[in-house]
Amino acid sequence: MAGSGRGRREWGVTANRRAWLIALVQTLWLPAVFVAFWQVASSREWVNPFFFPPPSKVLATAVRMAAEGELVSILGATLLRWAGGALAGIVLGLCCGILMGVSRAARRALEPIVAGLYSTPKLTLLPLLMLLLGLGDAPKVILIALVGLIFLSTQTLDAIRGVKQRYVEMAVNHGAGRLVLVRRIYLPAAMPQIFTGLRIALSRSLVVAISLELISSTNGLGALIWMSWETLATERLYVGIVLAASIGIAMHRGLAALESVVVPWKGRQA
Amino acid sequence: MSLICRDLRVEYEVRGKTVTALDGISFHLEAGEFISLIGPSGCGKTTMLRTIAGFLKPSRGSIEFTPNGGSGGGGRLIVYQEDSLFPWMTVLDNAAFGLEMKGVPRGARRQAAAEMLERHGLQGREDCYPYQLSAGMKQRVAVIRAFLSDPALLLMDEPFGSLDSPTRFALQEDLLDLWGRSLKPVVFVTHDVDEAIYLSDRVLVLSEGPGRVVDEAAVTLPREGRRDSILSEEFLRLKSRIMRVLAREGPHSKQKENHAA
Repeated sequence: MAGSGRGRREWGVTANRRAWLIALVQTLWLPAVFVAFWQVASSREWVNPFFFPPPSKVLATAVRMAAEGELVSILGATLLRWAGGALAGIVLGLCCGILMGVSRAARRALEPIVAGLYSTPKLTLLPLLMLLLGLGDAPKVILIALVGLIFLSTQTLDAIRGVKQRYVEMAVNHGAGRLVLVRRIYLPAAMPQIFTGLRIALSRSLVVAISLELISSTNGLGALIWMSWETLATERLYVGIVLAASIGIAMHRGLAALESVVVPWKGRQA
Repeated sequence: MSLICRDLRVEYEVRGKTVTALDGISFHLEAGEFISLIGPSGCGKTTMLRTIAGFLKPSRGSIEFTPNGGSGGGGRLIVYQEDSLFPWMTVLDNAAFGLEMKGVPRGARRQAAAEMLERHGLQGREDCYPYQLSAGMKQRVAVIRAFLSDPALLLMDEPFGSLDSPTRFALQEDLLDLWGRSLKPVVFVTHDVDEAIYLSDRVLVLSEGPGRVVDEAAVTLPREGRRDSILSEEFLRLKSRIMRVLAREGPHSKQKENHAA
């Protein structure tokens, strides 16, 4: 180490890396122990390896599926439907939520519809949508979008109604009009809770996307899981389940990263 | 701008009941004048400011602005005691918010805000968020924003009420400096008698709610060196006069009245 200042910095990097490693261990030890136990339990036949194939075999199956390109097409089908539907749902849900939040007339018109759909199992609408739009992807994507729209608009409305009246009054006092209020006050003030809404909307729409594939699809994760069950291909079944869970984890991580950029003041209202 | 307040009564509804917050308030504010409102808590000081700002409508009496330029937002600005900045905006954006609302282009308003922040010791804090500032700094930014907005009239609602004394003194200096340069008329609400006398041209004492003006004391001490005259005869005379009125009009007086009745 050269100068003391530089030495300090190097020590700082080391400390950061240490903290990062500790965080990694704290995150991974539980699943690692679980997988290891599973591996032992399955290979020693403490459990029936037909129902609980060892993780090593599941991994090997996944690698083979990846090498054959099967995995990409399966994941692609699910992600594409999900992303397309959820994106449309989020854009519409945000607009709908803001509109309900700032306009009493819009709230009166839209809130009963949203509230009615909120607790209706969205899958019950699939037969109707298929009747109207056929057996292709259209009814599925629309249903996924609807789920995103419902959950995000509900949270956005709630967030906007929860904005401290003080900030609105302060902006009005400075001469802010309605549009400025939305852009500079309501939207940023509501943003932390809108992120909560995004988390809910995205995970619920993912659930619906995969559920739809279980019911009626020939491609995607849901279809993989269903066909694996029908053919008793349990290793492929686990590949499907683990992948579905991984998408969820990646989504949460991605949203958290996005949130720290978009809402740098979060949790620190003062 | 100057204003005349005549026989004002302000009422509002709380759970179906009408509460009279202010009754029979009359006073005037000259152009460039600095007046303080002081009174027991619950005497309607904040209601007074919100009425002047146009957020509440008086049920009787009138407020006249001369010239009649007080219409619209930005004309009569309130500076609050807490939550006085937008948490999601940086210090610079907060300070420049009034200019933004007036349509001043981004570059110009940011430059004006940066200069003002620097003059008041906030250089290097421009990109901070309010949560990263001390309470005193936050209030300093709020005061700076108010003066940058160039309002016709400034309404200050105990802006230094939650600060410790040294910080409070420093902010009083900042405020007087800004006021001295702009000579905006100010209505300053406080519960601190020293602060009222130190800052003001006149001090109005309000009674317990429903509030009305029970005393009006002109501060004749020269502004130059006023900080050093807080033990002068004139300062103490004013202070004891105001405190006597406050004691007479405070919560205690009400109890006695009730007792008699």
